[in-house]
Amino acid sequence: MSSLAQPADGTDRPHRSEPVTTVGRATDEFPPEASVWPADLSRRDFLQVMAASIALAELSGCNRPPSKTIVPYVTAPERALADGPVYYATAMSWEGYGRGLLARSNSGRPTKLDGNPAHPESLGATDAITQAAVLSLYDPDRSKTPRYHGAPIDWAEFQEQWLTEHARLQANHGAGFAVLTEPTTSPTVTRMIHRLLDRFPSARWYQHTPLARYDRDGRQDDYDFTRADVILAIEADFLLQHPASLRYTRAFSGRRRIENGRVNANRLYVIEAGPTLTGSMADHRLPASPHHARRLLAAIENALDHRPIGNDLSAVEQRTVEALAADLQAKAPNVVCVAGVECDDDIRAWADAINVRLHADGVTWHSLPSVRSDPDRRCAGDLAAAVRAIHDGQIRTLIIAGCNPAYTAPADLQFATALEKVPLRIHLGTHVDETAVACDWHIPESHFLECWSDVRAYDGTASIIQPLISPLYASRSLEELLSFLNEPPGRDGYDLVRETWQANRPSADFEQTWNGWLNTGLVDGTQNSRSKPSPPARAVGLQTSTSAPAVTVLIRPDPTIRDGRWANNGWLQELPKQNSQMVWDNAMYVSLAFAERENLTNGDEVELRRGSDRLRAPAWIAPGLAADCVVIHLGYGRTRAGRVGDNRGFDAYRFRRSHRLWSDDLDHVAPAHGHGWLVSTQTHFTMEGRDIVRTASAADPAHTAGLRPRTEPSLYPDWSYPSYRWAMLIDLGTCIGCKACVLACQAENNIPVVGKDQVARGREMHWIRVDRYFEGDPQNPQVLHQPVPCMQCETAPCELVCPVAATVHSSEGLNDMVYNRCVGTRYCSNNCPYKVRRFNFLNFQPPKDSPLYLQKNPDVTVRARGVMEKCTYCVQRIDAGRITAEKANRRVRDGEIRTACQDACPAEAIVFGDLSDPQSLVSRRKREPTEYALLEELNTRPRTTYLARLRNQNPALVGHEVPVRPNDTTNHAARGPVRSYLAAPDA
Amino acid sequence: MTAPSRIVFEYAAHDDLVGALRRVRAEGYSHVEVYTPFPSDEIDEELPGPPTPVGAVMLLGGVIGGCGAYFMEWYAAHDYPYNSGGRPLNSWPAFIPVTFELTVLCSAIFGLLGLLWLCRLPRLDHPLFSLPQFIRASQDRFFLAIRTDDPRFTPLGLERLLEDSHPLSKQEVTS
Amino acid sequence: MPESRYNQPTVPPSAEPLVGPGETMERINATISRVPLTHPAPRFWWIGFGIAFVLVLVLLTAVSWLFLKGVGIWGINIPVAWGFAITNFVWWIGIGHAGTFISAFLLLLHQHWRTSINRMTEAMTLFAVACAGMFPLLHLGRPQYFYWLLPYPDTMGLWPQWRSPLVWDVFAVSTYFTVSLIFWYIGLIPDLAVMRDRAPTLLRRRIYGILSLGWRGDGRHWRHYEKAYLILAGLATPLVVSVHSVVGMDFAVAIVPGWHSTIFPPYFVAGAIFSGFAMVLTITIPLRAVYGLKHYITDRHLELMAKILMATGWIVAYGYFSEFFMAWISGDTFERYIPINRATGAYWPEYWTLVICNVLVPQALWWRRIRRTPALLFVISLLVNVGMWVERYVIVVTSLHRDFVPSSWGMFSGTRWDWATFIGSVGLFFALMYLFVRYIPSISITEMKRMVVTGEETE
Repeated sequence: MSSLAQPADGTDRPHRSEPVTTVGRATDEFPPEASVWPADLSRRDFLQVMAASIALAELSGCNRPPSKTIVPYVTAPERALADGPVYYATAMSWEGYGRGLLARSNSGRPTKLDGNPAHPESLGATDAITQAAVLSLYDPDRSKTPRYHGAPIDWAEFQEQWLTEHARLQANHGAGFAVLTEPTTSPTVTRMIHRLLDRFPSARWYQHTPLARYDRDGRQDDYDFTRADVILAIEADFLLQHPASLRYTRAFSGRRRIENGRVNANRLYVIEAGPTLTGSMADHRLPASPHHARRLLAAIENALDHRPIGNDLSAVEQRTVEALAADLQAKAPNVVCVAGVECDDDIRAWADAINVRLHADGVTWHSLPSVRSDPDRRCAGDLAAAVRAIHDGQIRTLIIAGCNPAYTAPADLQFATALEKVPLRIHLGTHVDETAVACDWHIPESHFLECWSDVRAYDGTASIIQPLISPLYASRSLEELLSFLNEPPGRDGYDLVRETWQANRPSADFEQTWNGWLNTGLVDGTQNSRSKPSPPARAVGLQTSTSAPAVTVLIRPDPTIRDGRWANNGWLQELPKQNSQMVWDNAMYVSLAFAERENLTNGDEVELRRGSDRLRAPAWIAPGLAADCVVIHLGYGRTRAGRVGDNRGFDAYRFRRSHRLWSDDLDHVAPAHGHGWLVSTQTHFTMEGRDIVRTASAADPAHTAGLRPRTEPSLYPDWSYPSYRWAMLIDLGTCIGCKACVLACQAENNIPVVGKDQVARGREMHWIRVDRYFEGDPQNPQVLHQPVPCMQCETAPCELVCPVAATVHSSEGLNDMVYNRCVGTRYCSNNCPYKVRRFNFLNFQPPKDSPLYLQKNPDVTVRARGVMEKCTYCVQRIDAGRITAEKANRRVRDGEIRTACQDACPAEAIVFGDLSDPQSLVSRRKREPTEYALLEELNTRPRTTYLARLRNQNPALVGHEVPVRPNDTTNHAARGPVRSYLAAPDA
Repeated sequence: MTAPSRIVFEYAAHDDLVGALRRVRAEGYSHVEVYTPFPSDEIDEELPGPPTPVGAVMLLGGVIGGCGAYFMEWYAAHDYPYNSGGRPLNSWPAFIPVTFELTVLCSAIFGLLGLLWLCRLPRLDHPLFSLPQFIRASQDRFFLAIRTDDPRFTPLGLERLLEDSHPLSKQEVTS
Repeated sequence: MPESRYNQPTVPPSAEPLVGPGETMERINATISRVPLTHPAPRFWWIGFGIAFVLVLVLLTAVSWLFLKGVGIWGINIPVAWGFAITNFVWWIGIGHAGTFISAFLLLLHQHWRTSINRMTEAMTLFAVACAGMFPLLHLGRPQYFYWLLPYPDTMGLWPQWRSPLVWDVFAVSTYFTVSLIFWYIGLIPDLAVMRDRAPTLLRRRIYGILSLGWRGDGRHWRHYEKAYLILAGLATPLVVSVHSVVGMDFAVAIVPGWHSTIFPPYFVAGAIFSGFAMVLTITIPLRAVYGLKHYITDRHLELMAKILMATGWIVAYGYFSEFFMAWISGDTFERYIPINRATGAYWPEYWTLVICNVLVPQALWWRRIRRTPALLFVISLLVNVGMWVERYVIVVTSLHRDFVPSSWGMFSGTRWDWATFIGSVGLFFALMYLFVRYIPSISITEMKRMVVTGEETE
């Protein structure tokens, strides 16, 4: 391992994963490890390496460094001991946009991804998808070898085939040659594509993405939420589903953090149809279909103009609109109006106009140059254009690289049938997916942790993606494939990326600059400067149609598996959806009103009708969803995703039309016969009037926060904790419920995936869960998020009922779980009022020969069947930190030890530290007036406590709304399915 | 020395035996044995011999068990001390149930062993078993046995004493 | 003056005799020992035993699968981490209580009528406790390490965690089993001697001979014997109370609403005796019919047991009531929610089943005619058995499935393996009972004879 830490010497080359007879590359004649790593890696060979890398975790010889030129993160955290894990700065692409990472490598195995604090679009935080990305590297279903019509072949055969094709194409300047990729921000990929187009002038390049395009005529919108006092979000989930969501979350939450009893809170108004995470954070939320939203916007405009706002709104809406308008004008220019990228152009234009009108442009609303290749002038168009070209017979050789159009194409394009017309189809992908099986040739694509590349973040910041491990299988990166197609046999990614930047930044000592980039994970000076947006050319009037459609269906990416690209990732499949707590499926989200009218319960089948199109799917009742809307999510119903992702949920693409990608009007929606099987980790969403999540008003936090934590008297003498007293504080005011912490914990602590059936039985294993409760009007409830890890109670009820002392208290106040002493009576779980304990009811670990073991954290036990487990405050990190400190003969510094959940949190809502130090951050935060302990009346004396959820309602609206307080009982009034949904869907 | 033999009288009824027993006791016989299918208070009152110490034995067992149990718990808690739910090491209220159970257990075991020891059981061979009718001692016959080493014993005197007590049979059993 | 003793009536004159007319010692010997020695009605026995044995095989299958796959084959989950196993455990322990209660408690209270049923009820106790003891082991996630709950010289110097009620259970149940066994065996010695002296074949004579330890009815032995037996009864009586109190504390010590209640120990003891007597009736009524023991287990015995059944039933009913009352008067949100949830929540059918079986049905026993009709009594006893099982199920499951934090509320339902294990344990219990009546006098010959002849009672 330590060899990796040595400074780079440019001469050495990263090896190739398979022996290739290279031309004119003497250095590669005998690839460094070709002998130990055959091209077609048999399971047995793989196992040997895997076993070795696990058994000899401490030895540096047992892993295969991708190259001596990768450089560890310079300012690695102290816990990165020489013989322990090593951290590398790299990056990954989130729908093309870069996010800086710190990747942990344990004896050569990438095991954990965290944010790179230096990276402006990561700020050290991550989202759930980033946390899960490492699992995909070890996905047993990954494509391992090139294929011809499904049959495994070796690379040489493909090379041979391509050489003839290459000659033919060169003869006719690439006529009939086309490349289909996703929009990319990678300078190298773009360069390679352009070079390909140079060599073959008649060749065409198409770009396809089923997801949002952030480009607007070469510009991207950008927002500064640190300065926004009032935010109006229209169908915009900028806290979760945006390339800059981490930066936005940090900024947004920063304005909701109580410090010394005060908070200068922003106020969030949300107009949206479906429930989103951003909507869940709203102080005032108006559910509205796209059509009704137009009415609301028009009303807002009228209110700003002090004109009558029109009477087609409900009383609550009218009041809210007026208050909102007043708020906007009062706080201008420190206000911002955000229209989601899925909105129609006229709505986005309206938002621009409002921002300009309120002089927010240049203050809170900015413009950045597009970093993704969507507007690239050399691009011949999108998938529709490609399909047209195919039908015109203009495409005879098609390269589909890194995307899966056979699955993600809108139904009306009928891409599959078109594809059949192409004589030669070549696919590059990580899996043998729907597109792969429709192509003649399939080439395995490398995971970003095993190949060289580069990527640019939303704000333009470029990062070099350096691999932590050389390819596990005979795979190619996109760059390498393009290079190969261009000039067989092609060159390897390392050279290509270096070349790009050498040309980009010619300098005398490029080597040093290069290493600097690898060290920090940033290419300095690549960040784009923000500019004042140019006002909209012409104020596009809102098309407000008086005749609203019967029903509007909104089509959205799945919160966890997006467009389906993460479908085979077990962690993401089992992560409760941020907007429903559902797992392993998508569903047809219907409104409470509709469910009441049709007397539906979760899982009842519902049918959408649009002309002759039909879509049947089980319904999920989504409180807060606009009454006349239905939301369906992409990414499910896959047939070639792999063993994890296949045949789950329904395929929403079948119902998608290329000209109505995000919302579509329906003729009819009606209950159909039949019942689907939907599973969620939480089945009860009211607090039953219990003091679970406390709410404080930003105006006067101290007053509304309720009782201060008190300690019940006890007959027993207190235990003293002379050394450290570890404790955690979770700020419900800033937490947005994104669940990054859940997967960070899963990755750090080797938590198994149990599958839909086991989750249905209530056996999910997450050590930290994010509960969500509804308060107030069931039709438009206030959503409350509450992350719940082990509370590490000082008088832990779980401990004294354990008959074998398998769970006892440590001298630093941790509630330790001794796995190998546990006999599995489960008494501790029964006696845990927070129900944070998890039990291995069956053997939940993957089969012995699974590559998934390569991801396991060597510092954490892999639990056996019949053993209880739970959150440990990441005790392995505490120990490592303590050891480091003791070696240096000092106490652990505040903030030196960070738990996995804390590391991941984009809102900095989780603080961990030492209570014995009154100046430690956690001690200071715990002194805030809104601090409280969950179920403190039980006198469990938890070390984990909370800051109350913060609400910043417009005083003009307080009291007019359904009152929201802990002792809310509104939901008991709800009838029929509403009650059954909100209060008792257990059965 | 050879063990003394017994003169065994067999009775059909419980009251006959009681009557016979009273007579021999009145005569001052001390080496008297009775064998009955069930325990009987009258017989027990007439029968010579000390009161049974089995109660003391069981008390001893109980004391040993109880003290031992609490000590074990106290010792274990201090021998391997740990913080369980913030409770003190010597959580005496929680130690009581086991203490009680072990008190009863030891007392009962002492009772069984004490009983066997006092009765000198198991003993599968006994001179009386050689007596054919003795097979009914457990069923419906009552036996009175006078040991020949009784200081007041004279064959003739015993004969006269019990001749009208309606014994079904009279045998001498030598051991 | 000892003479007076003879004129004392065996039982209060008003009452009818506890033994049929015309009984002699020999007739008692013959009738009772005929069952194990010559064993009439073998057809009935073989059918009954056959059915029970098939169920034992079911149990073995279920347990094998359990050890193969883990407790995940059951319906348990988070939050309901305890299910059938603990329900069965408590239920069986409860049934086991009638035996010692009858033989020890009633002995001290000079309840003469106990004589003809104590032997069988003690056997019932042993077998029920054996069934019960099985479940805490099976329900462990890692049953192979059950012995970690015992104090033994561990190489790591580890001990059981004495504050855990589960450790108390280990000691309470094992003590209860051992003491019951000793009590039962001491009572059996003289009868084994009878068997020895009546056995037709040499082999059986030898077996019974060895088991009877050479007992010969020596007057001085009887002296020790009586004393020991009496003190054992004195010990067993508080033991009975303690065992189910400890089982009740498994729940009462926990902070789970619906469990955390000081009334649990006495309430569990009453429930135990309630279910125990129900099971005694369930067994004795057919037994005395089949083996013609109506002279010894008379209708009056049945009536007396029926009365105790009703009395304990009322104590149990009071327990139910007090749960509501205490929840209400506590003013505690969580406590108040539980009884309401039990009565109206997802498990309302189970709850009302137990109310009907344990509270309403026993009220039929107010009528002498019903107490006197074995068939009806039999049905009632069956219903009470069902009711008591459901009661334990409701206590275990409904308290757990909705405790403090609503986000973690869930549901439980038994899988086929849950049921197989439970039915299997019933089979095991009855298989053991069949073997018992087949080889051991199911009524105390000695005490019957004593009652008939001297009119005395064992004290």
